[in-house]
Amino acid sequence: MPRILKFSLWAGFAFLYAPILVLIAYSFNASRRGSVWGGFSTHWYGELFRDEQILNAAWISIKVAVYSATGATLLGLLAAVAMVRFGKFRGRTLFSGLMSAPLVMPEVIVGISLLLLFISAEQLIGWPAGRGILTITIAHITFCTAFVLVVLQPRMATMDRSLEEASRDLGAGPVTTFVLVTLPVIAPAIVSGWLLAFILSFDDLVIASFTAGPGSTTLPMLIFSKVKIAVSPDINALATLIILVAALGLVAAMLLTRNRNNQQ
Amino acid sequence: MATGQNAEFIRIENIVKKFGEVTAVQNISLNIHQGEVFCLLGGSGSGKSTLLRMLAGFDAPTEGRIIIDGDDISGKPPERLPVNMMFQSYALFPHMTVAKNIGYGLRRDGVSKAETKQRVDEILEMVKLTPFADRKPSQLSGGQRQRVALARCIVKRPKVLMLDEPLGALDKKLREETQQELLKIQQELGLTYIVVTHDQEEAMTMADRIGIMNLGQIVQVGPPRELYEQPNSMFIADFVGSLNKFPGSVLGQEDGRTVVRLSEDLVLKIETPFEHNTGEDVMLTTRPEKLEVFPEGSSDQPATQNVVSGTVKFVGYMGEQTNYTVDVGGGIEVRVAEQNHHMSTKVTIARGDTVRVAWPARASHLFAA
Repeated sequence: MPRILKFSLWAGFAFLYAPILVLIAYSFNASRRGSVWGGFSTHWYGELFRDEQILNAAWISIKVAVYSATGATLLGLLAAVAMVRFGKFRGRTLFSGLMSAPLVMPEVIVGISLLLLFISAEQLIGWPAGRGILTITIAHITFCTAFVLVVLQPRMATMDRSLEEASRDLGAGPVTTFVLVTLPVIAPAIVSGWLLAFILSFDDLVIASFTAGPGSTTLPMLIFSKVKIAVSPDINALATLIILVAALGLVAAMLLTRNRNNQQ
Repeated sequence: MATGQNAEFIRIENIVKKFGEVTAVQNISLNIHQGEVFCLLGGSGSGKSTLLRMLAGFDAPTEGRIIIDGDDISGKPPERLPVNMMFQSYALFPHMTVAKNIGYGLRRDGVSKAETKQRVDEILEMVKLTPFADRKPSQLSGGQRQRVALARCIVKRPKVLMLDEPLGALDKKLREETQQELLKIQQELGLTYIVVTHDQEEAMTMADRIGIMNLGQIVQVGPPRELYEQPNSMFIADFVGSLNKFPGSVLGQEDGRTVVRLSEDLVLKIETPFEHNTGEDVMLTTRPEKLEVFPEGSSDQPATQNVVSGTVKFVGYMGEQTNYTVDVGGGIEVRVAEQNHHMSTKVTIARGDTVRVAWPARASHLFAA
């Protein structure tokens, strides 16, 4: 590889990852003041796990992410089945557009519109009563479903149709076929779709800020409110942990997709 | 050949299949006998796969009926039909072991676990896959996968087994073995096979009868020998095997033979079961292996009705046979294929040699041009 290409490759990587590396490095900083290096220490990680507020927010974020990922995966699966198996039904293009619109919709707008929806729904039918984990979860499902569909649809489209036909031919009805053949074959894509939705929900700040209520502060919301005052070193430690979780999830999703491709 | 019990085991009555504006199958009627190997042979787009898919219940015919063993199957879903299909891609379930794949159909029919295991073991024995029972399909060779696909079908004891390009994915050596294996199982179990293929060699060697399809219709049905020796149309003659074809015109009748002129110098006497009018334009077809070449001045000389002189333009030695192209004048080149019966007893014929081509009166067919 010519030197110039190598250089630009590493410059690109540096641009993308240097800030994260700096953040990780500072999370091991013994000094209280963020900008001064005071030697290596895991002190702030200890602090983190003694902070009730942070632990509480992390627990809320995990719960919301699990619920949203599960809901989005179910809806995404149904949408993928409709898109791939139902042929050219009426309104298919519209359906496809509507399903993928959240991919490009500005988060602020999604947040505001959902907030308005929840408020007016509460006034009209009394549900959802107030805002909290439920409303965040509903909001996250709406945009995560689009991402799950992006992962699932190609997998379903490339699945060998004759597998399902063989199952029917051997005496299984359509539902049995879906459960015993289709689902196991696309399972890796379902898992990676779930992981992707989990990370998206876990990381989300904007939409959660609009749809959260008192007592349902998620981890990103808490971090954001803390750094508005001052960047404290324990936030660096927390951010490092979040990066770790997100990276693990992404790698797992990638490995699952790759294994699948190798088998075929 | 266990053909017999029931000549109308499968009755296909005036089947039409349209996809939107396109007609894939045009009014096919056909009977398939119980216990026979029936081949649907045709190029891509001939409608053979569409017909097979309708027989398996994956597509419903637009018009007409299909009756299998007295049962009208039109409109029934595939899981309710007494037929099974071996897919071209084999369609083995990748997440299941060989034994689970084979037992799948039995479990769906409500066969007990114990009986399923016993029947799967029997079939595994039969297709010699017992040591592979716990492997996944991805850990098997192409030939082994093919046998799993077959086992998965026959374990259900179907009335009809459909095979979609059964040997398509195998290499040449394996094909012959597998072909014999398939036929052996067919005879042992007395199954009815419907084979779809585009490979005429495969169709010829496997089938009791072949139906040749073109443009959504069945052009001719018959045993392989009949299709080869007595094609009912130019299309069939050309489709099956290799062929010399020459345009010519009928000069008249002589001693019960039809005299055909191919060029100024080339006039042949042909025995054909059909009458042809004098002056009619015809297409004369002859298979290369029906002709024979003799070197000029050799002690052996042709004793056939027609003998044509010419110059050898091309010699292709193939091992079991030698192909010659002989220029007989008037812009006509004749292809001759000769079996190499003996090891080099015949005088070697080389390019540029003058030869005589023996052209028996019964070796040709005439079709309206």
